[in-house]
Amino acid sequence: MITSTSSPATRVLGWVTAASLALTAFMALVVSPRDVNMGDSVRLLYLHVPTAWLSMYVCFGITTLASVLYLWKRTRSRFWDLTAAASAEIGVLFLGLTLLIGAIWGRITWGVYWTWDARLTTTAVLFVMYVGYLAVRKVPASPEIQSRRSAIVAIAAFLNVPIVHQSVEWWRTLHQDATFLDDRRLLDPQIGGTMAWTLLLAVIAFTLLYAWLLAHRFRLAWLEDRLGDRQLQAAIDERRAEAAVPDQTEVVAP
Amino acid sequence: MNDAGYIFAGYFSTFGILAAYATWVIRRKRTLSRLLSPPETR
Repeated sequence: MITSTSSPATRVLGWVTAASLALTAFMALVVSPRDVNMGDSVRLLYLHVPTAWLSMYVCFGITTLASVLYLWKRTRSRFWDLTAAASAEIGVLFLGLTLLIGAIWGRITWGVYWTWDARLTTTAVLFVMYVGYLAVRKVPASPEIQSRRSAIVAIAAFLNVPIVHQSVEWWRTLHQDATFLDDRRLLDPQIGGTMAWTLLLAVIAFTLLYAWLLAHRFRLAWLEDRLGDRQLQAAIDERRAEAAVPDQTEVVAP
Repeated sequence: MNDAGYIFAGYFSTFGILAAYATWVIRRKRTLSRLLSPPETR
C-alpha cells in the first residue's frame, strides 16, 4: 500500500512551510501592533498582500513563461504545459483568497464588501480570465491542440496583469497605492518595524507554500496525463481487438 | 482586538481553503499512484 508519494525534499519543504505559516499567523495576530489608520484590520493584509503578489506576479508569471516555452518549438515539451496548468490553478486559488480577504478588509474599512473600484474590478476580471484558462484546458481536443490553445490563452490573460498593477495610478481608486512595488517607494516603503518583518515573513511563508503546492500539483498533473495515455491506449487496443474478430452475427435472408 | 470576528473569519477561511486544496491534491495523487504501475509514474 502506498502511504506517501512525496520525495524527502518535498516533505522537508512541507514541514518548513507549515512552520513558517504558523509563525506568520502568530506574528500577524499576536505580535504585530495595530496600524494607526487601519487599526486591527491591518492583520488581514498579512494574508492579502502575499496572496495577491504571488498569484499575479509569480503564479501567472510562471504560467506565462512556461506557455511561451511550450509554444517555442525548440523547448516544446509536455513538462512546460503541465507546469503552466499547475501554476495557474494555484494562482487562481491565491487570487480567489486575495479577493475574499480584500472583501473582508473592505467591509471593516469602507463599510462594504465590494465596490466597482478600478483595482478591484481589474483583479476580478483577471480571476475570471484564469478560471477561463482552466476551463479551456478541459475542452476536448488532441493533447497538442489542447496545450497550444491553452498556452495562447495564458499569454493573452497575462496582458491584464500590468493593467491591474497600474490601475491605482491610471484611475482614481479607493484602493491604496503600492507599498513596495513602486519606483518611488521601493527605497522608501510606507511600512516599517514589526509590521514590515511580519509582512516579509508572510511573503516568504506563502512563497514556500506555492513551491510545495506546485511540486505536488505538477506531479498530480503528470499522473493524470499518464493515466489518460493508458486509457487511450486501452481504448485503441479494444477497437483493434474488435476489428480482428470476424463478424459472428447471422444474416437472415428475407 | 477590534473587528476580531472579521479578522478570524479571514484567517480561518484562508487556512481552511488552503488545507482543503492541499488535502485534495495529496489524496488524488495517492489514488492515481495506486492505479498506475511504478514504470508508468516516471
